[in-house]
Amino acid sequence: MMDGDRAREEFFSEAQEIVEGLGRDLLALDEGHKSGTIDPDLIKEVFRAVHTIKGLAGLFGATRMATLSHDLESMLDDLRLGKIDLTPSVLDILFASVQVYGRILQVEKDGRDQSMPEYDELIANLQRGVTTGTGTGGGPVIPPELLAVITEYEEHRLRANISQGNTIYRLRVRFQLAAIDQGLDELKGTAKPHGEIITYLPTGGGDDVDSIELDILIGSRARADVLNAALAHLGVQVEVFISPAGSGGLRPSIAPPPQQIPPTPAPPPPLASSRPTPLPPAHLPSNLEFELTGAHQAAFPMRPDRPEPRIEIITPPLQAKPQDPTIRSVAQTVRVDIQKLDDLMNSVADLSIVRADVERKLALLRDSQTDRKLKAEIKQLQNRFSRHLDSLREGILKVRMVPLSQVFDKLNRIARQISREAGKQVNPVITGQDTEVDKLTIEELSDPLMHMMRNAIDHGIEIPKDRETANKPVIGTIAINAFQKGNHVVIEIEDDGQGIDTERLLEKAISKGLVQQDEARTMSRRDILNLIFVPGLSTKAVVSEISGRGVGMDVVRTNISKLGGVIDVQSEPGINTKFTVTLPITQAIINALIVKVADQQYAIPLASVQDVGQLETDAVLVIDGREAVKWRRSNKVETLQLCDVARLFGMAKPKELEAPDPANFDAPPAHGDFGLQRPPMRNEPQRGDHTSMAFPYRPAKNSPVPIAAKRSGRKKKRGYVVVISLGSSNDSKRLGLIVDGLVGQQNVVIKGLGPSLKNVAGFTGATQLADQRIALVLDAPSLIEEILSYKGLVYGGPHGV
Amino acid sequence: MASNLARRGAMPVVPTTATGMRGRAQDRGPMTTYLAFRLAENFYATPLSLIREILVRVPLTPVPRAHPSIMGIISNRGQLITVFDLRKRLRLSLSPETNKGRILTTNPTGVELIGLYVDEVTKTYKWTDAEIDLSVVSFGTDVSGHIAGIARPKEVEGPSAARAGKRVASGPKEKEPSEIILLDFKAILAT
Repeated sequence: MMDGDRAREEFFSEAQEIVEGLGRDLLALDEGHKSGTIDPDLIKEVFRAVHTIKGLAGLFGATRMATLSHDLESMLDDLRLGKIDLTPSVLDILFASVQVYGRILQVEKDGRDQSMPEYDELIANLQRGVTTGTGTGGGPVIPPELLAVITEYEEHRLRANISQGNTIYRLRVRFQLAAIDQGLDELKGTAKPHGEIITYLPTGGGDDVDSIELDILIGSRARADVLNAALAHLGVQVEVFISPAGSGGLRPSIAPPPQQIPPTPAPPPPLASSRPTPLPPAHLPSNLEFELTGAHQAAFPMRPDRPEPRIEIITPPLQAKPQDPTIRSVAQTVRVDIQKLDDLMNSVADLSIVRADVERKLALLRDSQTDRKLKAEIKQLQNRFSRHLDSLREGILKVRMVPLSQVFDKLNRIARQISREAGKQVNPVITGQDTEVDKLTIEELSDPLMHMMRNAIDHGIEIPKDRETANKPVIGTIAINAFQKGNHVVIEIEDDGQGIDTERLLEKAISKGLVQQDEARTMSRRDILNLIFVPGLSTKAVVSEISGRGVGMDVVRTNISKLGGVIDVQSEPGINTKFTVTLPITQAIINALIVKVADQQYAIPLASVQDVGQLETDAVLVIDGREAVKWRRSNKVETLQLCDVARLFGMAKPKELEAPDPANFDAPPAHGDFGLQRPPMRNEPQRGDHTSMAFPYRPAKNSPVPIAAKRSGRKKKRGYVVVISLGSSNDSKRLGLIVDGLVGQQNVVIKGLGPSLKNVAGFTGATQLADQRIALVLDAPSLIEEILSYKGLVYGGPHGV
Repeated sequence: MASNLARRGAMPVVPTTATGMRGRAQDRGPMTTYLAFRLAENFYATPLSLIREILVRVPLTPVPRAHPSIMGIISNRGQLITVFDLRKRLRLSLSPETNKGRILTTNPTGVELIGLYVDEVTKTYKWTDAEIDLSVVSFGTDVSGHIAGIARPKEVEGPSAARAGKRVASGPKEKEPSEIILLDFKAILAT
């Protein structure tokens, strides 16, 4: 139900967006029509938009929309191919269609089933057909070998260019496969002012497997030397292909795929494909594509003007046999259902368990007096097995990685749309879109990022007038940056807007009772900024159309936390606001420390574990009602806050730990009235005993220095402390988790908890251990945030987080 | 699930085995097979078709801070399943778990396969819609939303029927329950 609703919502917003884009394109087309220069790319754009809407409508059963799109598409196709001309009546129909689309969307959204006379009228108009145009029959002669490899549309454009008296040039250029996207874009950008790019034809030439040579046909009025000068720096050779009078005729060297000329195998290395066009430029980089959903496919149709099935990845055609010019696919990639990768990963995990078993058996063997040579050999085998298993695991993980550009591109689009709606001018600057993260992360990341983008535009960037007054460039900048940092990916979203008004934020928090007056005085700026992650706080007085619809930064934080990530905010009033999201690169399988708490086992991702030590009798400090220990870290003694996992989770503790003897320590300032006291979280059972206990802790072995202890007679162990942190830098937040025992280190496959447990904070999932038992995987970042953030937020406050 | 029920009625128990079905009540419309189970002292049933599997109790991993009616998670052939305690969901008293306890897996809402803990699975019944009493659905209690109807299995009439009512779960059993409450899992889980 929920999913359906959400998908529907997305459909409406997506369709709305496309219809708006359509409107803009039509306006531009109208302009062009008036001035007599119609940009064929615009018509293509319109065609594409309508095609996309058709796909969407089909998916969501919006029949009227689909029908309208279908009829429009037919008309646009004719227009595109020059079968009809762009007359005012055609334009009228197009403009009417934008309005009707809007109406249909409204009606669909309301779920009403009402008649729509304007729709019927438009359909009737469309079906009656528009006056047929001049068409492009006859015309100049185009070499048949070229005709064989270009589409009907390309042929039309070619003819149109020739009949307009343009020269057809052939640009021959070679790209490195890895850089072909950028290369083509740059070339397109440079060539566009000079003329119209008609088609791209791979020549099949190129002497190494990493590059590809293209012939690009372009129709232009410019002279050859002008074009040459403009494009030379890109390494382009320009030649006249068809000169305007038709007199110059054809240069022989256009590279139609040789196998298209049956009798003579041509000199250049032949193409493997019978058709050179499976070259959707955006798809050349050989990243494996994952199965897109139907909606996505509909939303981003690849080159709808080329209806042939597209081949995912093109490999350089060098290997193909000339005598076998069949449709033998040159694709060397496959689309893979991510489920299959998960299955593979599960097998790897099973193997890891086997490996661990063997390791244990080997350890037993070590002590026995068996054949030494045999032992050494087995050990060696085990090492080899281990290496291969690791590389297998890494290989699968790599396959799961996809570039962030998938979501960044969407952000870019959203930014343009929102800024338009908000009447603001925004320039999104995106860098690091090639940074790769796990496919699943991408999926889950898109909503939070989208929301942050909306916030940045809606709350951050000022309206142009205000920006002028503030002596800022009228166009606001939103910088989105991503980079890899160790095992994490960092994504930053920064706007140069008005910053966060901390005073108003604090005021609001106080008025809502989230922060106490006296407490507010001691809050640092950072503490206050972090209030924006508390539910129910939005500084914007007027809830806007775009953001502020009830989903706040708290949801963003929750979602990011579910991915094992953290979010941080920095802001200077009047200057900027910057959100930093730090995410683990991969989700599926992790190295984890297995610990024991009461009778349960838990897994703690090793990436978050910084240190492990025994908790012994000495001193647990009670500072401001919180348990802490002194902890030695790189020759510095720090105070580390503790969190007793058993108590946090309301689990039974071993007897002697339940009843601490208060006489054993100096009475802490607020004994019994501090520590983790706070209102319960959602779904969290009431914790019974919040009494803090002053148990001593002697840090891990790396601390020879006796830590100043509270007065204490007992030398009882209280288990172990696992130090978890948000990162490895010096100022990252840390927390010591008190656990009862350490079981060991293990690779585990994390499986998500079901929807019925989605509100339970503190776990990223669960994993099956070697003994078939299930261990919950602790969500270290969220625990750190949860435990450490009481300070200054709700400590002592009457309201829950 | 029993929306078209109109008439109170009771039928002797018919087990799933084909032998029990012979020639009975053909004129009362199609029969639905129900799975009956016990929670505390009460007997409940739900259409068998909704139940994916009946699991003998496997070790549960409790999930701290989850809703109290969530017993924990289990792994069934690699899939994690959240297990709810139906007794807590229905606010019944908790008897100590015995080896008769079972977990029914079901996906009533279509979004998630879940497990429901029951004290005992008793047997299956075949009832026509007409045999289900719908009048209780309007009870004013706060759990009545869960009740889709009540069936009243007649005391077993004859020897053949007595054989027919053989138990799914083993163990000594008192006489036929006089009332079996049909549960609407979807409604239970919605709360």
